[in-house]
Amino acid sequence: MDLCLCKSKGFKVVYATNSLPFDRKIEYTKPNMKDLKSPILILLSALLLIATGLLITSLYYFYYKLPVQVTAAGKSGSETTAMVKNTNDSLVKMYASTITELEKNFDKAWTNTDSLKTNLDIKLDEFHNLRNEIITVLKERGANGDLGVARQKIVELQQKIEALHYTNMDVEKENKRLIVLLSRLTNYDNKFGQQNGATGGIANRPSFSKTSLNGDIFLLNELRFSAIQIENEREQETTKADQTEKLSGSFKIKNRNIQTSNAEIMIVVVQPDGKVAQNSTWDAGTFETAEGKKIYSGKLSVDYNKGEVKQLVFSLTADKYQHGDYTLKVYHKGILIGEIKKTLS
Amino acid sequence: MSRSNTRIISLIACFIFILSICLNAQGNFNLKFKNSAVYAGIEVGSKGVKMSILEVGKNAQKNGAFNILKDTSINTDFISFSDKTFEATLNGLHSLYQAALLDYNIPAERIFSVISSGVKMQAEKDNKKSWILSLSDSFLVRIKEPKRKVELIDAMAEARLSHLGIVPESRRYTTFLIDIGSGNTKGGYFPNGNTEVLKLFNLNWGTKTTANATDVRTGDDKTVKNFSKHLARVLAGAVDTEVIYAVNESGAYNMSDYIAFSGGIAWSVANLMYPELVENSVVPVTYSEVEKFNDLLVNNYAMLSDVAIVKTITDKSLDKFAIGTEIKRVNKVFDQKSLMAGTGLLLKIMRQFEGVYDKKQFYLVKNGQVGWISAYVNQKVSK
Repeated sequence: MDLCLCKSKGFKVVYATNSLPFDRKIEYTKPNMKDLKSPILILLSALLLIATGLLITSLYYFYYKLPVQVTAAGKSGSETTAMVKNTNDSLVKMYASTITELEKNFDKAWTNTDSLKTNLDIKLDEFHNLRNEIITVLKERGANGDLGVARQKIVELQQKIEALHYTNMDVEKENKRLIVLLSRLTNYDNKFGQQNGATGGIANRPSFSKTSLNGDIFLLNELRFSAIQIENEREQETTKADQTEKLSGSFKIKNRNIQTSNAEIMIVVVQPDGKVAQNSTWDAGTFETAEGKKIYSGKLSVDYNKGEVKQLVFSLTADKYQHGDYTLKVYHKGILIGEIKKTLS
Repeated sequence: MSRSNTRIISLIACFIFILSICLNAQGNFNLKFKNSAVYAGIEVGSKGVKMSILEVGKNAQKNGAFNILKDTSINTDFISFSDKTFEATLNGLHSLYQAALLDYNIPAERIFSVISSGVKMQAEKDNKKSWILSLSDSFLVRIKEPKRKVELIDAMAEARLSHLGIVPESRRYTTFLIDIGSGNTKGGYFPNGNTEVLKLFNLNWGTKTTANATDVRTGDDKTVKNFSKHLARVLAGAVDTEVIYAVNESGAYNMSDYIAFSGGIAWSVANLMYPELVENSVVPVTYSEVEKFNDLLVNNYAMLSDVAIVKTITDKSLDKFAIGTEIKRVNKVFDQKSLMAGTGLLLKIMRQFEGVYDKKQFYLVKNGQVGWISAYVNQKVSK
């Protein structure tokens, strides 16, 4: 300890060469901040270790040795009961606070959860079982009550709560992800559209089976996008930019919940250079999306009856066609409902 | 060995020479359309001589596919009809012709020169029609092309050509084109399903006249708030009466689905409202959108600076520099009060077409000033 103190106060310990090992000569040296830091840390660590050791020992004696000590000391039965009762009460408090904390987490989890509900149900069942076991143990108040078992169960309960807390965090994460998904609404469309774009440009989604996340947004189906060349007044599909005379697209829309009879569908055709292709500047304009204002290539106005499947067609004639990927994006109410790519070589 | 080296060097030199000629022949223009041609239109107007170099696409008539490559002018004030302004106008006309021919390599047959209706009207009023003939003859002598025609265009022809040049074929007979100028507002539409007859529309109010009338009322209090108050009164008074009369008289409400506005104020409002559409010559708008823009103009003008507008651009594919430059230009040409006056007049006219059930689609045309050249070129080429 002295050695430590010396070091911590900026003293240098020097051993005399011709003296006994314990004969130490202390010289004063100029204090160095770097030298000062490490002894303080060591000292604090040692203190912390000692404190922890003492705490563990006290707890151990408190929970395991106390009844034995009481019996050994020959204390009266009423005193023993009182002490057991005290211990029991502290356990009840501990249990109560644990339960309160759990209820809080539990409520939070319930409000946020949906996709992780099954996992949560299992964990909650485990929690309920454990809670019942603890209640049973605590009901058997008195000297015969196995408080050690109760303590063990409470620790287990706390672990479960921690696990539930992590589950809750997962639920929150999942919810955030779903919110992002909801705002875009079309994550599942993208992959589908891209896959088809690479193989010739026809997107045939199996059906309108997927439910719209937002009630009044159209579901899109059978999205097609092709480059057309006109030869002898006959239209033929092409993949070559030089032969292309127009870009043509079609798709079907449906919505069972939509209330309005008139709707506007925005068509955005993004050229390989990133700019929006336009038929004529008279047909183009801007519209609002979650990602800000976007330019549309054209706007389709639709008279729509609730639940009907409506096929929409459009074409776009540009003066020049570039080599590369043309992307067709279809929007309704600022939300992307379909996307497909067409490559022109 | 040295012989073959000389041969290679001379071949490379030839290649570079030919390449430079080819590049020069393109006039270094960044062309937008496939199978397009470049034309120049030189116009002698009231204030000066203006040259517009246009790229006219093969679908120009169908969908208005023309692109302004260069727009330049020289202030000469020809309608003063003095020797000095005559000489200045002649020099301006000649130098712009030479620039088109030599600097931009546009062949003579693709350069068109005209004298505008404003000059014609003023010359008739001042009995100076001979000055126009004299200017035309002097120009032909200078360029040594006696067979060239310098056409004198009247108001009807100019309005007709503007409509033909600006409005695409598909909307030709359903669009009422209104040009809001600085001193007056004029326009028209084709009522009979052909381009022979244009029903003219005329209003004695323009951006500048509205701003001036307001400014006179404001007295010593030159604040924007006071200007706004008096502008509302000007617009509710004489302007309102004239606009209602002119629109009713034109009969355009029942005959048109689309109402397109051109002129300086249309260009400004289009750029400030839709900076994203910087490359588009036409911008669709609604009455309520322009109304909101007007509020912004009066109450939060700082939001219409180039810096503030560029900050709102989120689309990464857009050229922020080009947008910023165009907004700067707008703010240089029109100050807050002129913008307020012009937008107020625009709203007043729009209001006449904003029915409860039958709503018209409004457009703001940015390149109205050169629209007639495109039509003129097409007319000449098809002949």
